[in-house]
Amino acid sequence: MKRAIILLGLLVMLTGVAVTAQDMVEPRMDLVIADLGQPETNPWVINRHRFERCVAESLGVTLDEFDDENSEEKHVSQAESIIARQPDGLIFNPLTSPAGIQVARLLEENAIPGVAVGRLVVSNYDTDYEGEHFIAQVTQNNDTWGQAIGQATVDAGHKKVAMIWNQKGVTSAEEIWNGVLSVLEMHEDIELIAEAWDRLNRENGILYAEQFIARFQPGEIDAIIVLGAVAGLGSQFAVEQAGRDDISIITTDIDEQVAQFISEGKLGFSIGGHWMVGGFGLIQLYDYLHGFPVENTQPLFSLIPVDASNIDTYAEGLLQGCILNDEQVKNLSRVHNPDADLPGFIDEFSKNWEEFVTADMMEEEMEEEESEGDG
Amino acid sequence: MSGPEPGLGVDASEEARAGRSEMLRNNVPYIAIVLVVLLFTIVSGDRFLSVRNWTFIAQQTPVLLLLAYAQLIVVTTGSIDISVGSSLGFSMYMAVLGMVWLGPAGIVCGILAATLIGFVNGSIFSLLKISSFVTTLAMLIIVRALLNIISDGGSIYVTEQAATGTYVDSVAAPWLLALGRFPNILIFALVVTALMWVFYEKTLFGQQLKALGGSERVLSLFGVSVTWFKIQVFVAAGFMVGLASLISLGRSGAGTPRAGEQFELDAIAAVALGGTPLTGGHGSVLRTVVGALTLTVVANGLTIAGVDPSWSRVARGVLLIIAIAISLNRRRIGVVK
Repeated sequence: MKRAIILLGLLVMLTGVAVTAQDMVEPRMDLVIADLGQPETNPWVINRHRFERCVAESLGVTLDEFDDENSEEKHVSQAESIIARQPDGLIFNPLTSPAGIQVARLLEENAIPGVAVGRLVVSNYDTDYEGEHFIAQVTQNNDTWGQAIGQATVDAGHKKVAMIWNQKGVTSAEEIWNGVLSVLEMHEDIELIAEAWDRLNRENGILYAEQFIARFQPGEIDAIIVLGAVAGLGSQFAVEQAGRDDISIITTDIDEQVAQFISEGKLGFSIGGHWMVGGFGLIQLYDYLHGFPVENTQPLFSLIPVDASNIDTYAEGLLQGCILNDEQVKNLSRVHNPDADLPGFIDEFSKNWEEFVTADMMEEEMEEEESEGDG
Repeated sequence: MSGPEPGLGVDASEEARAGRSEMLRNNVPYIAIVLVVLLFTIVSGDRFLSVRNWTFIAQQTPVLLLLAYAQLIVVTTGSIDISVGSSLGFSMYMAVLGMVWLGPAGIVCGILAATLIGFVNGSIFSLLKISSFVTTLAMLIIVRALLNIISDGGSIYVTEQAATGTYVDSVAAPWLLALGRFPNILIFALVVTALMWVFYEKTLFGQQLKALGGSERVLSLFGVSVTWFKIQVFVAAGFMVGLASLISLGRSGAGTPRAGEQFELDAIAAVALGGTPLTGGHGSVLRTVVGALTLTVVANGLTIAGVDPSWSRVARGVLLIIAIAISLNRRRIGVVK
């Protein structure tokens, strides 16, 4: 009887070991992932690359970056050339939905897994997509993004607002604007007095802001909402040059300059952190390449609203790109951590990012103190 | 025994040297493409030479090639058309919109739209005597804006099967998608190339193009209405853009407000790489093919080699300058503008 119990115990232990061994996967160190997006001409792209590189380094992945020169045709041509390089997978930031659909087709035809980040290829992956190799689209929550901008406008007490937005045809940009409108339309006293839809660069930010300044006298306009920090800073520059301190600029994306302006009170509000989707997409692709099925095909990152009250924390923790250390990155991958919950982390990060950054800062301080003490 | 006269000897050697220079200039596009292919073969080997990669190159080149033909027609006369990118996007959208309205036959709306834009370009340039650069620059802006207005920022997709509500705006045309894929897209381009060669090299119109680029006065002395001829030149170029729009639509699978952006620069670069001087007077269909192919292969090869995108653009720009610097016959060019 005793022997039987011992045997049974051993069997249970061996089963446990077998299950654990099955759960553990030997991490591949030879993976080459290509990245296709736009040129590094705005903070979103720059930050996305920075974070993605950190994640790649933590996971031991070789990351090759390419851009599409902001052209739909070149987006597809570049995707073809990248596929000819035979990478293990592709992370792509589709310039437009039609260009993204062509890349998805190429992935299917060439059996190379890929993840779209930042912009949607199809509105709803689970209902609109039937392929096998385009495995997921990791984007930001455009509705809540727009709503946050709208709410910031309401909270600041602006009544007459103009906007400068991406030229029409970019699904994400239009979704964000719909989010803004959904909030503004709930307040009858807020009036949208002018719209500009064009390429978002500094020159156009300046150009349209100057046009609005010329068109509206003080008291006729309170704020200009500008999508993207590059154009937003251009508008800020135009407003400052014209001495129109009656006009506030509300923008998105946060780089060093935006952070400085928010800190100085020149910019009221911005919203960011959505460039992290690149790194999250890379973790998802990395897990998939190790045999883990995709848990959530369309996780949405909620953006981080930033104003004077939290800009210092944001600048300290998120501006440098490498927000997560090696251990934290690996903890998000099921290859290294069977309990990893990447979709949950993506969903929750915007709610507890300040605690996350503060804890990280405290840990660093303690490490520094310890090393000083040792010295 | 007396030797040759010194003066004659010098003339002969100068002539021989000039002949060698001329031969080198004429063959620069061919030498360039061979060198480019050799370079990338050494750097990237199997991946660059793979059938899959050359299938991609065969899909990437035709749209640029047809736009380069449109540019070649105009550049040979000493003018330029920088509206071809906007015109391509507009005619792609009109083609797919025409299919939504009229069924498959509606695709001709794309060719008609591009031809009409060519007619307007030619009319403004010829009748109002506004330089081709300024005229087509204005049209580049106007046509892109019209595209934005008509599309309202939306895209119309070309699908394999009739849509079931996923996309609001779509049209089922599997034959068009097939046209945009290898080998059909290549066959289409080869047929157009053959017709273009006959048109450019063997017809009176082709000869008159070169004559106009050489001297407008000479052409008028032959009794040709230069004003009308210039309009016809832009109409012919517009028609070529219309043909490009068909395969571009098949390749991209959608008419979008951003289609064709920046393509005008690539089309000009392809013509220039083919050794056609932007001052006009002469040109070559075959060398334009090589120019377009070189541009495509260089972009493709640099990506496969893993060159940083910004450096890739620097390399392409430098190649363009070197190729043109070698291929230019400076003795034929009186003024550099």
